[in-house]
Amino acid sequence: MKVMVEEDKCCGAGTCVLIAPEVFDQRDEDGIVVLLEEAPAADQHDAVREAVSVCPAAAISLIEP
Amino acid sequence: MTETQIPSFPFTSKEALEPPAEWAELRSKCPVAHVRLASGDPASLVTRYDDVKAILSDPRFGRGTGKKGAARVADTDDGGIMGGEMATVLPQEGEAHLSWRRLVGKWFTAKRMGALRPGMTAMADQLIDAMVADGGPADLKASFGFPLPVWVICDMLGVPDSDRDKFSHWSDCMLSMTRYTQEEMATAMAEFNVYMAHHVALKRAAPGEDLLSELIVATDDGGEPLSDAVLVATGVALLVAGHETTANMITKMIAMLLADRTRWERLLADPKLVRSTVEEALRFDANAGVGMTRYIDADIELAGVAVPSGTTVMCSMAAANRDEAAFADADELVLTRSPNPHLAFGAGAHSCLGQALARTELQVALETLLRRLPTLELAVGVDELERVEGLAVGGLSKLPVQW
Amino acid sequence: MSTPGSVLIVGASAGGLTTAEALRRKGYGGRLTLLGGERHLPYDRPPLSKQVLSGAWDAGRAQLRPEPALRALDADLVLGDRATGLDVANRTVRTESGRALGADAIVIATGVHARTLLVEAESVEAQPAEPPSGQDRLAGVHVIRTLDDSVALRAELATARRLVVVGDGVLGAEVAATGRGLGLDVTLAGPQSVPMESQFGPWAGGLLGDLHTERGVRLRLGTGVSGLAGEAGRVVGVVLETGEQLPADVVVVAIGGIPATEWLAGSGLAVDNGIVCDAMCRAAEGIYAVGDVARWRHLGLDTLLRLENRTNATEQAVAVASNILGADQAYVPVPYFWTDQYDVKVMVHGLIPADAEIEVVEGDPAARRFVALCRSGGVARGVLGWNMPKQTRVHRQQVADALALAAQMVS
Repeated sequence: MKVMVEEDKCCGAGTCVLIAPEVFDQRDEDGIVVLLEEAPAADQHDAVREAVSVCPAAAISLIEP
Repeated sequence: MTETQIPSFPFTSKEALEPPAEWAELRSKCPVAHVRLASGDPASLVTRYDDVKAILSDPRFGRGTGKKGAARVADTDDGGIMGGEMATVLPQEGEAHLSWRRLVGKWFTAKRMGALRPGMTAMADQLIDAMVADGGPADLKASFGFPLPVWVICDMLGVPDSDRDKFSHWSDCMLSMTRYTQEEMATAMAEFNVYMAHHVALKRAAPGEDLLSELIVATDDGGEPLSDAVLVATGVALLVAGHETTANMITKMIAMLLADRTRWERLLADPKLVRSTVEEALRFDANAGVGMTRYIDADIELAGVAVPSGTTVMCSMAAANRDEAAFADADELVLTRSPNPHLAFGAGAHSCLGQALARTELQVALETLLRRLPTLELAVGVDELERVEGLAVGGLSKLPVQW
Repeated sequence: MSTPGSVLIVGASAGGLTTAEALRRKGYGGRLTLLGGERHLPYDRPPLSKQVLSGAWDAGRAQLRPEPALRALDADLVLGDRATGLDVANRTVRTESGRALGADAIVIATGVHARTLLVEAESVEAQPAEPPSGQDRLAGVHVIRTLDDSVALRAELATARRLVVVGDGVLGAEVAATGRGLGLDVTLAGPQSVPMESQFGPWAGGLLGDLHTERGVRLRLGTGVSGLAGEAGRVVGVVLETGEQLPADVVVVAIGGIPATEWLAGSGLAVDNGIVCDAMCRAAEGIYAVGDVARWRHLGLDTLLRLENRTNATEQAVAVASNILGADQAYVPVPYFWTDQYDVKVMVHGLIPADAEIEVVEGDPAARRFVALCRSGGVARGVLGWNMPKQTRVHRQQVADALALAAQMVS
């Protein structure tokens, strides 16, 4: 699994951080997403998939083989 | 020499399909000429066939992008498509470049191109159907020359037909330096990257018969598979290198043939001339774009002139293709010319990777138009044809035709 | 309840698409159909008043998922065909083109239509004597709900000089800000005393009003609109109830949404300012509602609630997907929305009562960077963050805890 974020789409809601805090964080100054783990461990996959789906700005995508 | 005496390059000619007078003059009198590029940077312009070929084939010299002292073609030539992200992902020089080139190049075989022909012909027919349905006069560039290459690239990437318009739009945004803002170019690039990343993942899961599927399972010289980043960048490279160039060449070729309609009639009478006509159109093209630069990092001699290390040489392939020393009747369009060792695709290690594809597309485009629209003619006078403003790729802004 | 063999989702925007994705993510392998009234692939609406309207984004950038990701979803995507009727007993949806789509479970995510001025005038029984003020009849009057709306408005703004925005809610305020960004002369008119008062409360709404004034927007608040002035079929101004006429080249009407439930008339579903649902977002056996159109019982707030915001669409979609697959769980979200205006991002978690006590818990309002906790009756009801997104999220927990506690007491 590979995670991609598009900063110019991110709205800073932090939904992804609430769901998968080990994979996503936000910048202190403007709340834009920070990708902590580009290739998350298997136990994170479900949470990451949910984060992708509920991101209110459709700023995260997931590449799964 | 003072700055005002240094001519600006590229030169422009009065008529859209005619070469600028400076080419012949420099070939005979000043084979290594000091010029100033659009960026303001100085360069040495080379116009003779032998010199252009020698420089382009010399493995010592590369583009020198980003090297201190290397001239930039335009002042925007810093973070654009040509020198930007793609250049950093795709290896540009040395062994890594050769390895990537071999891998992608393997796909562009004559046999492979032959297999693509029926599909290409069907696309050309489909575009002509739509153009005819809309009624003439039509702009052959917008209706035919521009979409055909992007459709072909989509096919090679295994992209479904329904997404062709998107690719067309992205390609247009990424390449056009003038019509779109930086922001629009950036969002097109971002959208394209996300699309391609997903597309590559789908292809990994369910490979097809396309180039991309083949590259996914292939390995480079070191036995390593290509990374997703390189695969996505290869898609960008195909669009950048293969869309606007081919689209313009199709348009210019048809313009040249219709400008003197006896040429068109001769082809109608003898369609076997299509192959040699395509080569001759490539050679004869007076709007081939600015040319190729090479950064010279050794002291060399060219046409008896010393070229010191640190010089940027601008190779004008289009000027070289009109060199009387290399081609008899160089200023005549000879549909039967053979052999035709023109330099339209460059020469050496960086010569156009997709030339077999471009040739096939040009042949299919011409064959199909001859078959479908034998009465095709210009809808305006030759003197009314206008060039596209822009540096990277030369072309006509429109080609109004009727049939 | 057994897992349905087929699911039909009516509405292909954020709520509908997310429902489909959540079903697949949770392992649903049955047949999935997504029916959309617009011809576009699923796209996102928040950028329509901002990046798409300003031209910063090409319309394609608002697309929610790239085509390959949509293909991977393995759903039948039926676009450009609107639902026109629902047979609850047979779980069948009829469409404009004559399709009859049946499924074991149906999810309704049809969203809202933009409210127009004529409707507004009728609803408040304040029809101006003359001339008729219906916006449909005048060129230059726009709403923004769809991608086509936004693109059409963008084209008109390119040549306009004076923009009047009717409506002082989120959308109106965002359009005013975008209009200023495009260099237009902008007036914002609406009935509240400060912009976004009902969402922000009077205090933060006041800060927002100050921001707009500083950036050159003319505010005409605390007054209704009595009509539009037109000449030769084109709008030339907005007439306020005070009698003042605001000259305009383009007018944007942003006075809220009407749930898109007209096609459910006679279906037997309870419709009252949205589709009335239970706490599980179920409107009838096997029929669910998601997003702007759903009015469900929020157990934490102990009320029927309909939220028109982006995050609710997706969160409710995930909850409904779970319930379709048998989870049988109440949907008790912490309401959340954000707005971008100029270089300011304001976010609200929870709801802010009009009489809330405000405590600034981070930053400084004078520095235009702060987080405020809003309490009423001693309970944390909402958190409002102004240009401090990350810190705002951290304080959200207090609101979440209060809601969870209340929900436990109800159930």
